[in-house]
Amino acid sequence: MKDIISIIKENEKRYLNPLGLDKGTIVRWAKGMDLVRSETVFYTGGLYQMVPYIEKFASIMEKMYGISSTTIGIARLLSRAKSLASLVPVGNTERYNKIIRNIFTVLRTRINELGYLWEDDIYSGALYYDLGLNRTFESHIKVVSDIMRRNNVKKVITIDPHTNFVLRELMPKYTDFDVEVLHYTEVLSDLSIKADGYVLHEPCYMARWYNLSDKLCSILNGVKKPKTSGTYTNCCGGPIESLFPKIAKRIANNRLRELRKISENVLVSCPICLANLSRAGGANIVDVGEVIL
Amino acid sequence: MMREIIERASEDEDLSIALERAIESYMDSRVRVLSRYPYITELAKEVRRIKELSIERIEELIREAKDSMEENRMNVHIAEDAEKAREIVGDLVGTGKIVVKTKSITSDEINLRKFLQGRGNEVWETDLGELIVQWLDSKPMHFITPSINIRREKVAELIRRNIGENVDKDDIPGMTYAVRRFLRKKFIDAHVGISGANVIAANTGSIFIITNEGNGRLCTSLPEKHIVLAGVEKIVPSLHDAFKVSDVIMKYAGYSAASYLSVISGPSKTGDIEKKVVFGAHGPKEVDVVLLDNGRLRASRDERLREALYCLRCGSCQYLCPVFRLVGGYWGGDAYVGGIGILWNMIIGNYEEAKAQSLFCLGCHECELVCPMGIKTADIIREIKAEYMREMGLD
Repeated sequence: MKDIISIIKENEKRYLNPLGLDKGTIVRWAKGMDLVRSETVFYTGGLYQMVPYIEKFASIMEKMYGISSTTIGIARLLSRAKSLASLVPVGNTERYNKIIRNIFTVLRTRINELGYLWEDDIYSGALYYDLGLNRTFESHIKVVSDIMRRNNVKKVITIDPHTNFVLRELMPKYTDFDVEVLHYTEVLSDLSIKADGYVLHEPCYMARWYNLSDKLCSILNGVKKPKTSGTYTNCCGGPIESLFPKIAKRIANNRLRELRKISENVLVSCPICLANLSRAGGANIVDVGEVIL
Repeated sequence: MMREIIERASEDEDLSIALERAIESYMDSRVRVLSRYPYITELAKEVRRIKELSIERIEELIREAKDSMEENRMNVHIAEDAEKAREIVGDLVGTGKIVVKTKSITSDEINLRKFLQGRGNEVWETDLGELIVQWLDSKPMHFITPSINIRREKVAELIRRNIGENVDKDDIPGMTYAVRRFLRKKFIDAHVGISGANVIAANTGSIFIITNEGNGRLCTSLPEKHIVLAGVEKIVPSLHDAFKVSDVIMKYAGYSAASYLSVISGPSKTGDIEKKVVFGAHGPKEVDVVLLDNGRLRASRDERLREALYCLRCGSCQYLCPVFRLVGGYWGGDAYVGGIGILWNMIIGNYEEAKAQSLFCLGCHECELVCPMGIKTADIIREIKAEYMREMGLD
């Protein structure tokens, strides 16, 4: 556990995110797009970009757990690597970049001056908060708020529930900066997405905060729900993936068993759910960002 | 080690099947009960306020409850910690006695059964789930359903081995009746009955015990001596408050009304012969109440842990937690399991275990959502994680 926390903290120090993604990897989704700077910003927090790296990291840790010297060896290798980019082929990142592009494309039809912060689109700090790394989180969220202030940001549109929660709920508590934060489903309430044949796995942070899940369901046409859904949705296990990948995977298996009673095609709306449910395997896991266009 | 136990539990197919069966059944009951009695969500809010006020005045209520109970001819003992509580109960029971117990998490907290057995007593858990736990020499895996992790096939095997009755693994009523026949003699022969308390009314000194099996009534009425072991956080100001708390406990445990709600306010007595009061007419001649602190008073002054003292032990949060659904009571602690168990382990002083166990919490907040008291278990666990990270030099 100590090794994993050390890697996470070392990566925070060098890259301002827990997995050591460099800025180029985070902004790659926008390559070739004509994106302006504006007071209303599209903020990814790098979480969708992290999905293939989360999967890679968790699978290495899962395989190596129990062989302590190897775990430490891998840990050191990861912490010394220039970035995790070398472990995940660029081709594997395209699926997640496309999710971001799709959401952005639809949002831009609703918001005229939708800007992007480019190299200032940094991780929110959600994992640090979840792990109880309070000091790390507090110093990180100050960096985020400084970025927002420096860029004169007035409104933020987030694309995942974790980044949304941190900027909307925690940033005002931990910094002196408060800004209007919306999840993209709140902006796209007039949308109608064909979702027949899918069962919806609602993420905890959409189901239990700001009624985001209701917004999501209202734009999904024909989607089905499992027995535990809505406010009572069951977690995918993802939040403990970094420390206990085996347990996280088995929690995902339990959730998938319930979802698959309805359909083999599972719709998610969160990069953590996407990563953890996919890692459990056995069903076709698709993000809303992949069917939004 | 702890991680290995939890990972091993997560691979246990029997555990997974048993948990799935029990949780599905609870979920159906919960939905049915909460929709049939819509007033209960408002009553739960009122009970939260009652609990907040009670914990705020906890020391005053302990004194009031003690006075009321003594007025009612009950003997009251205050135990500051587990060791003192064991010593008090141990002296009250003595040695060479037959003791029958109701399910009591507080007695598990102080490891009472084994302590009394170690003093040469024959001690029987009379709640079926707890008896299964006793036979397995295991620990309770859920507040309401202590043997939630055990499949019927295993129960049949335990009954065959311990009672000698050849029960069928698919005949659950048959298994239940075999245990009834076995325990009947123990109830009759018992010298001492030990119970917990679900709630205590300070103004009348009344002990409330909720059961479905009926074992609670037999334990507390057949033996000559009844000992109540209860945490001080169970005390509320009035009899009226205690009924409200009981109603909320029953509903959130998945029952319209439990089969038995016993209200005990003193020893058995009669004055039918010339108005001369004689104690022990049919029920116990003596009732001793041991009020246990064991960290509760300290917790009542701790802004963070005070919340856990509002817990009604209905088990809702355990049933609905995704980690609990996977590994059951292997996560949390010994007597107090699941996420709420981590908070309770902090209260009773098992700090190291609680902090290490906290890392398994997903922070999904489902526990808070389903808790009738709205206890912010996930937020408190996150703060415990933070304490752990700081102490480990990781933050």
